[in-house]
Amino acid sequence: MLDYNDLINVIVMTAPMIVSFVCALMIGLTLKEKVRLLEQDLKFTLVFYFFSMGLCWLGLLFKQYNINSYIFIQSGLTFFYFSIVIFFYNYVYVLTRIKESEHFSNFHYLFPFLLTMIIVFWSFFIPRELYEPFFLQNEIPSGRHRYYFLFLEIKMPVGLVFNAIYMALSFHRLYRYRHAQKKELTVVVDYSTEKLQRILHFAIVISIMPLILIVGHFNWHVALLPLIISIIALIYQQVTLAVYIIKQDYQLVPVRKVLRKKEENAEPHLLKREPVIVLPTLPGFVGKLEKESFEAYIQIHKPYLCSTFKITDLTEPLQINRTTLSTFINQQFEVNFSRYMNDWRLRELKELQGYLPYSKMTLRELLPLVGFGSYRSYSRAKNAILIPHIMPEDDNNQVNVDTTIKQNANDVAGS
Amino acid sequence: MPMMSPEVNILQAFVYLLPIFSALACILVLYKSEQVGEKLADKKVLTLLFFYLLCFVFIWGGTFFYVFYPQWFIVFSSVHYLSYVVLQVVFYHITFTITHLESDKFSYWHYVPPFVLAITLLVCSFFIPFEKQLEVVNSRGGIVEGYEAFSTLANSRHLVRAVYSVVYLALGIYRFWRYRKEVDNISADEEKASLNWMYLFLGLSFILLILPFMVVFIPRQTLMDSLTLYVPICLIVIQQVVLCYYTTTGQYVLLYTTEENDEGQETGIQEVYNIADLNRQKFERYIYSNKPYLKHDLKITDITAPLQTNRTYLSTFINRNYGMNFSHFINTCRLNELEELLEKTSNRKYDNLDLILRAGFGSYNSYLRAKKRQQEKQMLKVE
Repeated sequence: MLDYNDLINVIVMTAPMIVSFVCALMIGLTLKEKVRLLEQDLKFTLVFYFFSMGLCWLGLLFKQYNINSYIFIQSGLTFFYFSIVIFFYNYVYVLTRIKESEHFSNFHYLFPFLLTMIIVFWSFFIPRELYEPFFLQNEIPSGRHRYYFLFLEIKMPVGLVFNAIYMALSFHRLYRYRHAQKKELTVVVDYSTEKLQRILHFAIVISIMPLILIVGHFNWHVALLPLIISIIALIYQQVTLAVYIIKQDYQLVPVRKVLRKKEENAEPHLLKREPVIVLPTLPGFVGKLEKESFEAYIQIHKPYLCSTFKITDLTEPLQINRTTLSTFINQQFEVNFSRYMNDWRLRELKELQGYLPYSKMTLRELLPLVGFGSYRSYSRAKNAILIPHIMPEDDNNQVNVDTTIKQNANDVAGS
Repeated sequence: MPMMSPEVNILQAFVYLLPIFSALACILVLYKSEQVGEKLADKKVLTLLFFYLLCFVFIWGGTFFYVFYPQWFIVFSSVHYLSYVVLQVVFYHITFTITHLESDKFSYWHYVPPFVLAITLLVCSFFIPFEKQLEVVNSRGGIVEGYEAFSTLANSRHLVRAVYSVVYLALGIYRFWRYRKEVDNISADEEKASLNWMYLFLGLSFILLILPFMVVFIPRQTLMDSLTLYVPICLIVIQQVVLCYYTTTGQYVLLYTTEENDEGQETGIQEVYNIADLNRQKFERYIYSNKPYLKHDLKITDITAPLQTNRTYLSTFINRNYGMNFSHFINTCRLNELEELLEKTSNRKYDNLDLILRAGFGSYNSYLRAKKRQQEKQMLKVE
C-alpha cells in the first residue's frame, strides 16, 4: 500500500520530469534533419534545456525519497539547476537575432560551472554524516564545516535571483526584436515571436513555483493547488516548445527590410542565406585542372560567398592537394588565393548593386552577402585591379565545360 | 532497516508511472502538433497511434493499481486485460497501414479475440464475490480454491500477451520486409519511403519481447520487489517517443489510399499516349517533357495512367532498360535537373537549398543520398 500523500508527491514530481525527458528525446531525434549549423545549435540548446530540467526534477524526487543518492549527486546538480534558465535564454537569443553577426557567448555558462566546481571540490572535505540532518531537518551543523552548509543554503535564493535576471534578459531580447520589427514597417510579419512571447509568459507563471516552495518549506499541502497549476503550465510550455521544433515552426534568419511593398513581384528568395559548403565534385574534372573549367566551377558553385571559405575546402571536391591548387592559381591568374576570391566577391558585389532590391542597400549591408567578412577586408581588396576572367557574365555564350554534365544526362537516358 | 521499505515503494511507484506519463506526454505532443504548422501525418495513423498510447496508459495504470491498490484493480481488471493484449494488434495495425503495398485491407477480425476474452472476464467478474476477486489479485498469480476457472482466466493475460507479442511482431517484421523489397519500385520519395526508423522501432519491440516472458516465468512478487523493471521500462519510453516522433512528422509514405484514383487525375498529367506498349523513346519523351519528377512525393502510380500501362509493367520496364529501380531513376533525373538549374546564371540569386527543392528533392538529405549514390557509381574501380 502506498500513502496517498506520497502518491501525490510522486505524481507531481514525476510528471514534469518525464515530460522533460520525452521532449529531450524527441528533439534529439530531430537533430538528424538539419541543413544549417545554427539550427543544430538551437536544437542542442533545447536538448540540454530539457535534459537539465528533467535531472532537476529527478534530484527533487531523490531528495524526498532517497536521500543517499541525493547526497551523492547534489553537487553536480548545481550546474543544471543554474543552467536551465541560461539554456532558455540561449534559445530566445538565437531566435531573436537582428543581425546575422550576433552570436551567443558561452561565457554565460561560466558562472554555474565555477560554482559547481567550488561545491564539488569543497564537498570532498565534508564528512558524509553531516548531510542527512541538513537535508532532512534543515539544521546547519556547527563547527568548521558550517560555511559549506551555509553556502548550500543560499544556493536556492541565488538561483531565484539568477532566474529573474535571465528572464528579464529574455524579455529584453524579445522586445528589442519587436521594436526593430516595428521600425522597419515593411517587414513581413514574423509569427514566431508571438509564440515566443506566449512561451515567455508561461515561463513567468512557472518561475513563481520555486517561490511557493520556499514559502511552504517543502510542505506540499500548503502549496498544492498553485503547485499543480504551475506544473500543468510547465508541461504545456514544454510540449509547446518541443512541438515548434519538431514541426520546424520557427524562423532562424530574421526577415529584413529588403522586401518592400512595391517590389512584390520581385522574387521572394532574394536574400542569400549562409551558403552550405558542400561542393559537388564535377564528373570528368577530378585530378586535372584547367583554367576554364576551374573558373566555371567557381562561378557555378560560388564558394566565395562564404566569408570563412578556405583553400582547403576546395581540395576535397577537386581531388587535388593544397600546394598544387595554390600554384595553379598563382600561375594562371598571377594572384594568390585570397586575392583571387576577393576578386570574385567584388564582381558579385558589382552585379548585386545592379539588382533593384540590393541597389538600395548600403555597402555595409551588402558586404556580408557577397562573402566579405568585414569592412576592412573589403577596403583592402577594393583597390586591387580586377583580373580578366574568362567566364562571360550572361547566359548567351556558355562555356563548354558543362558538356560533361550534358553527356551525363545523355548517359542516363541512353544507358 | 525501518527506513528502507517506503523508499523502495516510492521507487516502484515511480517505475510504473514512467510509461504512463511518457504516453500521456506523447499524446499531448500529438494533439499539439496537429494544431501547429502544416499537417504532415495521416489522420488514420494518428488515430491508431492515439489508441496505441492509450493502451500504455491503461496497462501501466492497471499494473500500478495491481501492486499498490488491489481493491481498485478489480474494477479495471477487464480493461487492463483488453489493453494488455490489444496493444500488439494495434501495433500490427499501425505497421500494416504504414507499409501498405497492395490494395488489401486490414481485417478487423484481429481485434475480436482480445475483446472476447476481456468481455468474458468482465461478465464472469459480476458473478464472483469481491473478496474472492481480491484474493485472486493478492495471490499474485496463484489459483484460488473453488474459483479455478476464474483465476486461470484472470491470470492468463500474461501468457496470452506473450503469444500475441511473438505472433504479431513476426507479422509486423514480415510486412516491413516485404515493403522494403518493393518500395523503391513505387515511390520516388526515398527519404520518407525508406522507413529507416522502423528498424529502431522493431528492434526495440524485439528486445521488449522479454517483458511478457519475464512476467510469465519469474514469480510475480520477486519481480515487483526488485528493480529489474527499470531497463525494459526505459526502453518502452524510448519506443513510444520514436514512434510518436516519426509519425507526427510524417516520415512515411502511404502508397495505397482510398482516394488514389482521384489524385492521379488532379496532378495535371495532360499528355496521353494512345499506344499501349511502352518503348524507350515514348517513355523518355514523356519524362523529359512533362517532368513528373519535379513532384517530390511522386509515386509510380502517378505516371502509369498517362503512359497507359500498369505498375508492374512499368517498374520492370525501368529495371530492365536503365538498370536501376524507379526511385533511383527519378532521383537521377532530379540530379540532372539540378545541374541544369545551376548552369543558368539567372538562378544565381537563389540559395542552394532552394534549387535543390526546385529540382524535385524532398529535402537536403534526399539530395545528399542521391548524389552520393551517383558518385559511387561514377567512381572508377580497380580490381
